Amino acid sequence: MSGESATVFVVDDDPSVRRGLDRLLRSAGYAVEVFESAKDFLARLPYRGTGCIILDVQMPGTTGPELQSKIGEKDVSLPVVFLTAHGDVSTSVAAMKRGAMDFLEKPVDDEVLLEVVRQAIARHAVTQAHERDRRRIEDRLATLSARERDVMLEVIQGKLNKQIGAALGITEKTVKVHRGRVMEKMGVGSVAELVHLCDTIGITTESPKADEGESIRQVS
Amino acid sequence: MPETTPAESFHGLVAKLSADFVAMPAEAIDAGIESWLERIVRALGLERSALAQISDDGRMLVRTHAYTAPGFPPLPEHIRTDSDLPWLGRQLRAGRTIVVSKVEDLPAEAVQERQFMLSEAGPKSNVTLPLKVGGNVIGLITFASLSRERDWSQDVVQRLELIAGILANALMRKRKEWQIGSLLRFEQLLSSISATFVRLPAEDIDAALRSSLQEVVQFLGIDRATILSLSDDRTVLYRTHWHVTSDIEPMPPALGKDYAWSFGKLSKGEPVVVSCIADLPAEAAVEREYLERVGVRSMVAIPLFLGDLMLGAATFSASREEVRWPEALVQRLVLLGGVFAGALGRQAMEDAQREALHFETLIANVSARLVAVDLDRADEEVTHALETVLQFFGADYCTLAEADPDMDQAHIRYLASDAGVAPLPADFEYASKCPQTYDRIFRRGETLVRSRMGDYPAEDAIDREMVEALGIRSILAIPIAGGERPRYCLGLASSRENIIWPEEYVPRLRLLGDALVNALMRTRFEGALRTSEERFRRVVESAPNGVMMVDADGRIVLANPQIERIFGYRGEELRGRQVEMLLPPGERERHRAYRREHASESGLRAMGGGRELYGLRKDGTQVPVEIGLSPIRTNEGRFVLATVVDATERKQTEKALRDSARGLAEAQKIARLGSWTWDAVAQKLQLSDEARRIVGVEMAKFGDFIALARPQDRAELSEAIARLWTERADAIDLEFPIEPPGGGERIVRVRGRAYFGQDGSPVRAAGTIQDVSESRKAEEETRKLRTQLWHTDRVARSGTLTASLAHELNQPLTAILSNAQAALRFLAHDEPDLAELREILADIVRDDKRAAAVISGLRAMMRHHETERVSVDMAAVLTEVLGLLHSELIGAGIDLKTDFEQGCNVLADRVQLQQVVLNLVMNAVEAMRDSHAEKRRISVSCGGAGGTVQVRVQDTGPGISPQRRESVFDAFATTKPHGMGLGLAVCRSIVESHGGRIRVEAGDGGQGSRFVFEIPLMAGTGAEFGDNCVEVAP
Repeated sequence: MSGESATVFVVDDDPSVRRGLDRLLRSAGYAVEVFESAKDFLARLPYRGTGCIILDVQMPGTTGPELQSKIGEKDVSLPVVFLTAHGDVSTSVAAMKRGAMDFLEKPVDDEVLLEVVRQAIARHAVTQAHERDRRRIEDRLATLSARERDVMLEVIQGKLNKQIGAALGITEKTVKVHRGRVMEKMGVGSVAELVHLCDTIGITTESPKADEGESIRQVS
Repeated sequence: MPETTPAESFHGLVAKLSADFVAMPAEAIDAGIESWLERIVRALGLERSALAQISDDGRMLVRTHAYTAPGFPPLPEHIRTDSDLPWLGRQLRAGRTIVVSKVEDLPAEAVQERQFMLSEAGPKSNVTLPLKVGGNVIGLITFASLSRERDWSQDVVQRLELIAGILANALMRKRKEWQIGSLLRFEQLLSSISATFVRLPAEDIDAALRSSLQEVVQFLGIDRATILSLSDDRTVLYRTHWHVTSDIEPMPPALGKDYAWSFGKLSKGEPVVVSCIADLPAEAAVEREYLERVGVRSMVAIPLFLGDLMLGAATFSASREEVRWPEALVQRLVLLGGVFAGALGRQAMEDAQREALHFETLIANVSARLVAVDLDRADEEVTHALETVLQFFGADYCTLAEADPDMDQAHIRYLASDAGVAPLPADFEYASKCPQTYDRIFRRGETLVRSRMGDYPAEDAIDREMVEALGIRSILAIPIAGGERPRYCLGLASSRENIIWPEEYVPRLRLLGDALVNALMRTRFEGALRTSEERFRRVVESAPNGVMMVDADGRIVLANPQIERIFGYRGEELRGRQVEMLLPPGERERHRAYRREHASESGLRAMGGGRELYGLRKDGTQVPVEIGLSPIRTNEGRFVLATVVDATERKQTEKALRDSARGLAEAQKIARLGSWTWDAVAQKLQLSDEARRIVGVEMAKFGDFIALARPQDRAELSEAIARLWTERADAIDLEFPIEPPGGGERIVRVRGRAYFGQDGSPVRAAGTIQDVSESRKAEEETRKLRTQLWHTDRVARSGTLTASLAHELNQPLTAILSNAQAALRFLAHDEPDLAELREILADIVRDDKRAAAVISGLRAMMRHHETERVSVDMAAVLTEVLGLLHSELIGAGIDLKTDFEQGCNVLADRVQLQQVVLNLVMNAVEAMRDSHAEKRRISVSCGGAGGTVQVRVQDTGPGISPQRRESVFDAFATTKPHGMGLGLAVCRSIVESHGGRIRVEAGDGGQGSRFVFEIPLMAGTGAEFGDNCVEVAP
């Protein structure tokens, strides 16, 4: 089971519910940490491992959706599963828009809950792997000089050295030097590999002719 | 896009609206409609909605409810369906819904409607629906977009039709309930007013009329009521009695013939009903101008008639708002007019009677003094006589002129004038100054009656000019010492006002003149004494009322033919006998004592001090009389001159008056109100027709009446009635069931007061008897309705709590399910942890109980039951309710603080107490809806305080201003857009039904508000007794 080393965080103000969920999740082999309030949970962060959060929508103090926003601010990628005692459609829609993993109605059946938790943890694992790749690429990207970066952006659009030189106002020879350094620093052997790396961290290439609006878009 | 209040979903709205109106009390419907119009407008993104009702005459649509978004023009208040929007009017009457997405949708014939849509206040797009009740169209409701054209989906239109149906029904229900409820109450008012006037002494009538007007003003919520009396010449209505609310001016003192339209209707006996000024027809331009000038927006005028004689009118008006005057209400006001007319008629009659008696006594007195006058004091006596007459008529001059036939001249010999006017010229000579007057009086013996200068015939122009030059406006001149050439003239004149001279007094004045002249003669001719006595005898004998002279020993010295007629004796049977022979035996001893006591008094007085007097006739029957006494002193000793008026006729007139005042009888019938009179002299009980109908049998004494009461009530009733006399309790007010001989129990209310003579002996008692069975039944209904209302309020509130309650229930269910499923999983493991499994089961049991408690709490709230009072611990009630509200408080972001003293037991209905607490806490939640999130806190505490338990619910909301603290407990005093405004009213009625009190004050530190209610602690309970009580109970 993918979640065996994962931790599930339960945030619910009702002690009975907390105890019940704790037992159920432990019986499925997860490590479980329970919190009475959003404040307590936020104090527990940061957490670097894999896992997910089960969050009660309606709590005194900070409510579930408010906590969800705060977690987002803290750059925590833990997926959130909401539990609600009554199907409040507008709250659930808002939560899903903010990226909630799922929105379950109380009382929730063990199979449904555990499946959602499993998927959430799996997704978190993927996210974390992706995150690690991205961080590595970004580290490399940070070693490029400004000029090298300019050249790289031209290269991944498939431009010829001559074209790049004209666009940046430098000689073709200089372009070649920069291009060689870019390939070396980014640890790639081909333009195709470079394009893939850039794509991974959200630097995309698009033909200016195909879409006149924007040629390069940074997605954060 | 700026977001103000989030618009509700239109679909959900219709269901809520329908539920809201089902339970809405009639008084709340107007406010309810207005608030719903706003909600609909917001939900549909419109700018305006209005509801207009067809006026009584069917020609006008009157806007009665509206919501217009800020910054947009409202719909006009009045729309004439025949001229303003004729096409729309036709469509509505045909019951059609009119959907106009844009102005082009209108058909060609809708010319005016098109103009209206293109006008500044016109809609760009709207839906107009007829308000239909049982096939009748009573008005319209319109929803309009003023800013843009829009499409109206069939779905929306259908829902609007549904809304129109619900609102039309609500309006109709309001009209009906108003009619039933309010008419019932108005009839009670009518009955209490008419009870006031039964046998009310004439001098109290003015005050009673004024206070009746005040009661009507307060009852109808209008601001002015006025009684107007018609002038003698029937051209002007004078304001005589009125009541206005503080900031309203009374009506002007007089309304003249300009108001021809109103006058015309009133004099035909028709009421004038003006619901709004626009209702007035073109010919009522003067009325319209007047009403607009004085700011009256709505009025009713009721003609006051006594038989065929119009006495005046009563008007009721409102300046703040337009008032609907339903036909049924106008009818009741007409009845009220009947009561007023009866009272005014009786007052006028008694005034006239009193004045006539006064005049008789005065003439007799003056004559008697002149008979007995000393020769050297004759001038003084004559002047005194003139002064007396002057005062009686309120005139400015009274003269005695003497003619000299040889010289053909006449001069004023004696003059009395009011202190405030210029004296007449001493040498005034009639023949030279006023030749026609001289000719008429002294040559032809004519009496001159010139109430106003216009009464002078044209040929008397010189005389008129002369008189006017003296500043005189009104003259009466009576020739004296008749025959062909009168020698004297008695004159009365007024320079300050026109006096309508009562011609019926002229013959008596002439006799007085005779007496005066005689006295003068005596001063000139010796031995005229005898003639003088003759003259006096003539005065006495020709008097229209009884006059007799009684000597110091009470012997009758002289009795005129009228006395003989009144008492049925011949003159010689009376002369020399004791005057007490003419009194009922029971009165004689008292009269003798009285006569001795007052023998030395001088001056005119009425006998009996307002008591009713009876004389004994020769045939043994009694006759009601009024008696004036005036002592006279002559050379032969003291005498008392008694003027006796037979009041039989007046009593008959009074009876006729009562009969003619059909309004009173009618009012009595409607209000199931009869009157009774106990005549203490005749020892007889008299019942009005309606009173007889109520008790079902004729009866002549109180005993018969008491016999109708239930045996267990009789002793108490006898005592209460006896107290009327013995303790001089001047009023009784009793209510008890009776069983009339015809069967069927009735509840009657008997009110009355006793009237005593000056010496303290009972004269009569009078009052009303009312069949209040229906009112009591209505009150019982009201009580049931109130319980129903409490229930409705509870259910409505539980409804709003459903979401929270679902949460309360789902929490334990979640825990149970998770625990159970975890247990199953643990059991599937190789070595299940038994300790953990035991814990799980314990948790499941506890959560199951918790769920059950939520359900039973909710069920108790929804149950509709009759009150049952048991011992209830207040702290427990608070804990239960706050438990139910847990999620609601969390959802609203509210911090809760509690502090309960345990063991404060009260005898109460648990569910009702829960409801009070629930309403107060929910009210606090509502109050803090717009407060800063971190400041939302509710503190609930309870504790014993001086024999009561006090519960305090405090919030940190905006608080309630001191002025509003009293009114928040009134029904529908809501400031909340969605509330029914019943919550606090329900709290108060429940707390008061438990013998407690509720109030609101500023919260701690002046922040927020604190509702405090107190309920008496159970006797014998509390800390030291609480538990024992339970043990000794079987």
